Amino acid sequence: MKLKFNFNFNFKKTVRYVALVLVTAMLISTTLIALPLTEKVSEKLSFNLNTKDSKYWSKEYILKVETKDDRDIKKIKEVLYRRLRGFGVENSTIFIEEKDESSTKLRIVVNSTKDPENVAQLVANRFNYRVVTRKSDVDFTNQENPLTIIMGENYDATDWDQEDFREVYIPKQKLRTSDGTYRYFAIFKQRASKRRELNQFLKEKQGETIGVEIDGFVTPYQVPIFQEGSSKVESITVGINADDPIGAKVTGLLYNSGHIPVKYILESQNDLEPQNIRIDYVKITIGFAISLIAVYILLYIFKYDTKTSLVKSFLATIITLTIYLTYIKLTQTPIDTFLLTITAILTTILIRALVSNRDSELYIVIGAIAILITINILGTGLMSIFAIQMITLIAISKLSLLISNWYIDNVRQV
Amino acid sequence: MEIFKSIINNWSIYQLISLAGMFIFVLLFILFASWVLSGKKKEFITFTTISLLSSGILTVLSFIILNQVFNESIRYIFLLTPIVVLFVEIISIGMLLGFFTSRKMHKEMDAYSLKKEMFKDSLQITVFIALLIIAFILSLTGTPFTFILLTSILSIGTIWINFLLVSIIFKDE
Repeated sequence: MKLKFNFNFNFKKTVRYVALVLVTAMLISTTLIALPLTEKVSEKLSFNLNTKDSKYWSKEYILKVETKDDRDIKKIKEVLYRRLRGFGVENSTIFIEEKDESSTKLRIVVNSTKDPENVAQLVANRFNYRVVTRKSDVDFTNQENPLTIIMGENYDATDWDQEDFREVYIPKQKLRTSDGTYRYFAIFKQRASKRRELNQFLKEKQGETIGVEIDGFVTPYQVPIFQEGSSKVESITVGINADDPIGAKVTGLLYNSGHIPVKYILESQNDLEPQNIRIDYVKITIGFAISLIAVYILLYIFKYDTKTSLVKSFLATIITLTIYLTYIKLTQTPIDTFLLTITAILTTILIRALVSNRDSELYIVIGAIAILITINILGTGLMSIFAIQMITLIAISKLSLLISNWYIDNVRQV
Repeated sequence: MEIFKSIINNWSIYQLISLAGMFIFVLLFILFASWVLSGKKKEFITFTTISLLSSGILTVLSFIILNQVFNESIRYIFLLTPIVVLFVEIISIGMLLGFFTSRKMHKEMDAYSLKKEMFKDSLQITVFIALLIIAFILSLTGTPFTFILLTSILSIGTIWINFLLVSIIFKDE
């Protein structure tokens, strides 16, 4: 008996089948990871949702400012607001409490998940800086008094202060010091109109130790020797007390958020009840899933659109939300569950709008992204967080629409 | 009114300017985009302007009513209400614009089909918002409940105001 092998290998079909299997496997695994309580299945990998709900804290800081002038008080509010916003504090409000003959009390209420010590630094420090030179009659080599070198009273003021520098730049990476260790540095970038003058000042002080005084404490700076004929413009560079990138960011905000015109002290700080919204993530997920299915069943019953279109948009919604949830669970990204629910609802509506109105897809996506970028740049606290989440979800939803279209079309052909 | 006094006294100028700048930029961007994409149609400018202004005025009025009549304090979470309403506006205006430009290209454009399409889209979004919000709102109380309810009502209201505007503004030539 002869055996005939009818070997017709269709490469395209095989690749399609394999791709379908892989996408199905991806869908199932992302859905399982995204579902609540599935993190209890594995002890090796933690994929519980990292919610911010229990991380919120709230404090009020009472500042006593040595002025009654409305303009100075407004300026202080500006600078403090910029610092807190720059650090990503979710909610902060500054109240003018009371004024007496020569001072004003400000009450700053902060509601955030950021590190409280860093926030306290941003609020409590005036961070007024200026360049100083050593007093000639002070002995800086005295071993018995090691604090001489950092006390501002042992230095003379110069004409150089924060008005003369456009920015204090702190590189993201630590730089190598003269003794071989690494630390963060602050580079004082002078204004273009003051370049020559500062260069001249540093040339006069070359080889000497000057310093940068911040709120009465000095960080010394050894002025380098200028090479003959060198036209290189030197910048003042001093080390900062920061061990990690967040500490460096806080210092950068203190330097660059603006100049506080008057002295103030932190009189007191009191704990308050956090103002965050806690929701039961498990209940919301179940309720959301039921509502989503109910909506699509309703649209199908009332023949709102073709079955294919409804299935595509439903699948795209599931893919978008499961990919996003899987990503934030595996990367342990801290998330506001309340905000997550709102963005999930809006994404669902958006995907349905994009599928049912293919002509409008470009307008809606580009319009939404442009406006969300604006909100991220100019908005405050929760607005910026909302905008970033929505931009991410819109990007994932565009990918999900492609996947769901391809998947439905190819599953039909199998 | 207390809300506005509180904003003026407690917000910094930087905060006021950046938020005002944000809303003005968004308004002008949407107006410009709808003017250009609709082929410089006067009706679209009128529609978009009235739609955005009415949703803004409604939002502010609702805050005032909530604060004065229901004694609810307008907390920081309510800053998200105009943002969510704006997002729904973008979807609504975008859908109308897309339908208009595609029909115009095929020379099948008439006011009746525009109104019919707008009604269909508005109903669809309303059903989505209503059903999805129900699942969410049942587990909330206090300020979060008020925020979600208010934002949903304003979003649905905005959509149906847009439908009304389409019925009034767009007429066959």
